Amino acid sequence: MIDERHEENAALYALDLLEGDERVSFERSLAAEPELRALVRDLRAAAAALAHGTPAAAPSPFLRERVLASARTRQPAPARRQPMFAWAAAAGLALTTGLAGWQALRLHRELGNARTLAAQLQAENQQRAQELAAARDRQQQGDAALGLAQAELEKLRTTLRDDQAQSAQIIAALRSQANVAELKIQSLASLVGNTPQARAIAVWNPLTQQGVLTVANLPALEANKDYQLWLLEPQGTAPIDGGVFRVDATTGEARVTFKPSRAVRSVDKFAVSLERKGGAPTREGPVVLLGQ
Amino acid sequence: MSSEPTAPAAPAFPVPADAELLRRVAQGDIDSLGQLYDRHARTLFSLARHILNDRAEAEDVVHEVFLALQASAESYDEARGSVFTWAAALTRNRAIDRVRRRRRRGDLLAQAAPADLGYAEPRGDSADPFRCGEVAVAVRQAIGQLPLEQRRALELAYFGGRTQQEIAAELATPLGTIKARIRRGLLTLRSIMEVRP
Repeated sequence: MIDERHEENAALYALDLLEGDERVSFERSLAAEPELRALVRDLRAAAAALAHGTPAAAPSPFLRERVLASARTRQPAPARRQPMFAWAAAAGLALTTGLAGWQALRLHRELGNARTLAAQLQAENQQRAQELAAARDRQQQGDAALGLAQAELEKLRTTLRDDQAQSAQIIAALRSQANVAELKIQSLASLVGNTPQARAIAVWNPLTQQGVLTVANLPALEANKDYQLWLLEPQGTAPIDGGVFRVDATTGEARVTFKPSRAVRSVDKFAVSLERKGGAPTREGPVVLLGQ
Repeated sequence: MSSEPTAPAAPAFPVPADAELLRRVAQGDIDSLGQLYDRHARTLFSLARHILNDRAEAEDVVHEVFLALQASAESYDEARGSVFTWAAALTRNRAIDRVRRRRRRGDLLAQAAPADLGYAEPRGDSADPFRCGEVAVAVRQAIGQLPLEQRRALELAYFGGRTQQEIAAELATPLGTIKARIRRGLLTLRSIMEVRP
């Protein structure tokens, strides 16, 4: 009884789909099990029957003769037999001409031997041609197998390159996501009673030690004043200077890129204060915006 | 009352089986090779052309196959399968080899193994009553009875020369499922066709 696994392998084998170790292992089973061989024979026949269902097409009428002509060149030529009348004529000549006849007979025999030898040589040549054709056929099959192997190798290389490229993309995407995950984004609310609508958003990248501050509805300042950004660390150290900025006089908006005056390990809050022109080394003026 | 003379019964000349013809080919009988050609060349050519989608290459394949049959006639073993099964396998393998060589040369994939594997209606070069005969009809009916997923897997394997993995990828189906479909499809085809070795 053939189990399902062998049935499956028999079907794959019948379609030349088994490769490598699978094929070698199955061929061992095939050699040992007549029932399996019979199954493969039947499945190969079923597969071959698929050919009958292909769209009908006729080869050119010249193909038949081309096939048979090629087949004839691969056949050894039969040895030629001397027609009887030639011997009779040679014998008659010898009888009527004596020595000349004897000489003619001897020459005729030598000619016959030469013809036989020529026929043998021709047969040997044809045999060699057949062997050469078979060798070329084997070489062609070998080339085909080599080509297939090379094609498979190229396919693997392409797949590997594609996989590597895809992996690089994934890694870049993950790194990008990691960057986004590490960003600190904080909104700042107004602490000043007369400008409650003032707002700001600070985006801080601790890896690059840079950030962007976007401000809206903040009143424009006189020429001798500046807004100044501060970064507050969680451990309560002195606020770190993030630089001065001014808003658009019409819209009250500003978008500034800031870089603190020293490295910041961790930011707890952002703050904006009102300072003298050019800012101050430490906060002196009132805080107008504070991170939430 | 006289009965009209009746002509003697014509002698029955048995038609040699393929295996007998091949045995004669092994002994140098070219005429027997011609008889095998007459029996099977159209089907083999149709198979090759279906895979290659090129008449000239298909004829080259058929030419190679019959010379291969001649060269290996002595080693033919009937227990392993019929002459036609052997010839069809030679034809398919050579045609698929040529398709793969084309792919390596960067030729357009559309020239080989067309997506429509053409079981709808025959569209051959010439109407051939023999090819529309019983065997072809039976095969088409048998294939038509296969579930579509089994048929598709068999077509890709037999005509497309795909590997198991390529079939799985093309059909976006797990490899194990593809193997099962091929197994069931081929076993079903065998049962429907009642193929004899």
